[in-house]
Amino acid sequence: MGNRRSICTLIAVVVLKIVFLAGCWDNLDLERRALVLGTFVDLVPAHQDKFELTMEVPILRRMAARPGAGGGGGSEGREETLPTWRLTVTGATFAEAMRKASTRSERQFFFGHQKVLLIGEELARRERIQEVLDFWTRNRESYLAITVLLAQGRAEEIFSARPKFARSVSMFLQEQSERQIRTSRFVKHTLAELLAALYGGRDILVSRVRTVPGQDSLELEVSGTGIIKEGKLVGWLSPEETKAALWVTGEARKQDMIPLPLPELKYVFTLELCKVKNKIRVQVQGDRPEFSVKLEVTADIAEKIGAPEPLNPPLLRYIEARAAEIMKERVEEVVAKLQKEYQADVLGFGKKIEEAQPRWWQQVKGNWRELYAHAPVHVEVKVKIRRTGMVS
Amino acid sequence: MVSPTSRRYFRKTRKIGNHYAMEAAPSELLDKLPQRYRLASPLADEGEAQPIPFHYSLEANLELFQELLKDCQDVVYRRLKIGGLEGREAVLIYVDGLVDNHMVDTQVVKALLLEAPLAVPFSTSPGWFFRQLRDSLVTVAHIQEMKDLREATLFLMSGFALLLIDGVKEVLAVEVCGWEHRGVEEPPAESLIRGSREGFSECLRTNTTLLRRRIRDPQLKLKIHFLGRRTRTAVGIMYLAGVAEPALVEEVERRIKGIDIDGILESAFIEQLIEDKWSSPFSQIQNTERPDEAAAALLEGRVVILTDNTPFVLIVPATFNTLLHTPEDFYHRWFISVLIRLLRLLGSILALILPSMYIAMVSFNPEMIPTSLAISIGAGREGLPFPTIVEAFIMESTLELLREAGIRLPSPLGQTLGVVGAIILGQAAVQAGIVSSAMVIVVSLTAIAGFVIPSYDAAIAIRILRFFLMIMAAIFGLYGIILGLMLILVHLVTLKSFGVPYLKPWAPWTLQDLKDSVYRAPLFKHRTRPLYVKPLEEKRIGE
Repeated sequence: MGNRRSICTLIAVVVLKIVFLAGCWDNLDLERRALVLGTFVDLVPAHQDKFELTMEVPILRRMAARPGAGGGGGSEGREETLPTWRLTVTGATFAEAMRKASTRSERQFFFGHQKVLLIGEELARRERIQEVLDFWTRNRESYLAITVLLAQGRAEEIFSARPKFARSVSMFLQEQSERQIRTSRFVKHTLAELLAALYGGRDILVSRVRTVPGQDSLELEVSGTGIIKEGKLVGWLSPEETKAALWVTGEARKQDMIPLPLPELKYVFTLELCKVKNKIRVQVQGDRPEFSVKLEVTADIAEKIGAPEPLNPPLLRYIEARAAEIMKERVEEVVAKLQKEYQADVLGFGKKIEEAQPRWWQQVKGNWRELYAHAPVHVEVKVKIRRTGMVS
Repeated sequence: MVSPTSRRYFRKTRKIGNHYAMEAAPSELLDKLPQRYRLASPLADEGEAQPIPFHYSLEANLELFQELLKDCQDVVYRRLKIGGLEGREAVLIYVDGLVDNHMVDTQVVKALLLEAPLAVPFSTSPGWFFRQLRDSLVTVAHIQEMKDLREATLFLMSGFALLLIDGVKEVLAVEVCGWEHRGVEEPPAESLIRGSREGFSECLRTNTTLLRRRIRDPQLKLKIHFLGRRTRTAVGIMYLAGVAEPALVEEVERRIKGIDIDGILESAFIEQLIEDKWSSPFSQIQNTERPDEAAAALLEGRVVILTDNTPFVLIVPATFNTLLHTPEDFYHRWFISVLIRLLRLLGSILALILPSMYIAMVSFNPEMIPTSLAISIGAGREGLPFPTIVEAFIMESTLELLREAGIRLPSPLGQTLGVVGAIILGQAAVQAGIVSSAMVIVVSLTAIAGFVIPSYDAAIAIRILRFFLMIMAAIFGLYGIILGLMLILVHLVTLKSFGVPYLKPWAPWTLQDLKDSVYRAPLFKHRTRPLYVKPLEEKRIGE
């Protein structure tokens, strides 16, 4: 008996402890929360010291298309796109803005389902991102795995677009970022990756979102990247430049297409990249670093426009050489742009030095940007064509 | 039928047998019995039963029986005069309905009245007459001499006819049993696609026969005990000597002998009185209606307990593993058996945690649900009057109500109830905005998953624990579910069934026994019997 009683006491103590220590306050039914799918942060144009926060929240009530509930309406009650509510609030800080938002929403905002964080161009250019996004790292509900994107322009424009398949703008951005496997015109970086790079003193590329005129309303396009240097947006890379940059960083995906105009053969080829193997080497000449970038590319011929002559091995060797030449030109171009124009080390050269020669890195860390801007970069590209397609 | 050949329940020897004066009138003799025997049945035995001897006088014996069986109007007394008009007085006593009347007529009465005068000389002494009668006249297979009133009465109540002869101090018990009973039918709760269609019936002898016919081995032992002070229910313990562990058999016998209750009406009484832990929701003894399952258990070295008047036999020891098996697993090819067992495991897990997972995810951790699903669930729950936990309890209780209501209904009505309950009620509740359609899906899925579990006992345990987990989830969320599951697991690992850990062969881990767990190895790989039963003979397949 004594044994049983002591066990009972133990269980009671444990259970009571749990009651008081564990999170009972998490208990809030799903429909009593406002699921924030995406947020947009920017500066208020009028008073420059204030932040603006726009949240996209689905209005579940309007979706509740119960058969028979709405006066016998059939399944037509279901809207194609998610009815969402875009709530814009301003505040001196984001936490304050959030509190203001609470006064306008009868349901508690819930960040567990936040998909994307969209940073306005204005904010990205003026403030250091890692300092501004502190709220999202401290908030226990949100994840660091949310996708971060840069908006060209303002939130109103982005949110006024109507995605065709996805059910809301945030979902579109999330799904579109996942589609990166088909193209390297942008790069998916999560909040964690972004913050890790910025806190580590590195520069990083973040995808750009902008609106383009579409069929009957504005449509969204994710292409190109913004160059984040020391936490601030300094400029944009076009989609083509982004591709070249991603070849160097190794983030390029399969099935990326590059057009290959060969006027001397009266052909225009399109190569589909299967594999881009990157290798960056550092050599220190005196106190000047020198980089060599080696790319080994395997590719398929996806398209050939021009004279209907069949391909033959010598011709393929020639195409390979020309493709390597063209790719090399593009890489050199973007490297030059990043070095000279922006002094932004988004390709991770500094990290390479840190890995290869940590002691020397400690010495030069202070004037790294100076060194970087003038460091010679040798690019070497090898292309191998594996398949020529179903016909040749 | 019952053959109470065991004298085990008359534990007291005869050394004070003639305690009561022979000269006393029979009624006085009964009066002189200690008070408790007079109030209780004379058969009631508290371990100190004293034999009550018969008299030489037929009339005295008859009076004894008539006194004892007063107001038992189904008892028939047939006066006979064996050997013609001058013959010896005799009385045949039997209970109408327990005996085969045809057999009484042709094998006993006819033999005594027509053939005895020809065979037995008129002037033989009573003792000689009795022996002659016993050995060469009554044409019934089983005959026994009785010296004790208690024993004789038990035989009488078991369907024997008692032959009382004037001048003889012994009584002859003649087996003429025969009564109405259900035949061997297909067990409805354990029907299979492939396999024997026979099921146990209420008659103990039929049940032992069903097992004997499956295992023609003299090592298949049967020990009968009579349990219940008043019901004197025959309980048979069957085991394969040389395979079953002797200690296990002994332990089963010890526990069964320890039962002291007025009546055993069903094997469940025995189960509840001999199980290891009464406070567990899990049943630690398996029951089945299928002879093939019982035979398989015997071959594994388990012990089978058969109870008269119920088709449910008990199998010990049981593990949680065995509760998820059906004999059919071994009748189908092993691929499908493995997949079906996996399905059953999935079913039991779903039946256990699905509603609580739903509660925890919807009200505590919505971030665990994929966004699109969360939006759908949220939209479905929009405008509902109750929080998730109340909704879940409403629906689960409705389900239990439907199930309980359906059990006692005749099957055509039961089907109607199922349709009304599942479809109409569910649909109407969703339309009226009382519950969400997601909840209806969860509850239906849980119910279906629960029916996958072959053992009703295991299903019950899971049903109870489902509500426990729902409460845990409602208070603590996902954390509570894990906590609840841990408590259940801790409980399970402490459980034992007749010395065998309940979670064998997983915990403690026995690699060899995994061949018959969730995995069912091809038959030729079952070289050994389950080792956790500690069989004497481990090998079951030759080289």
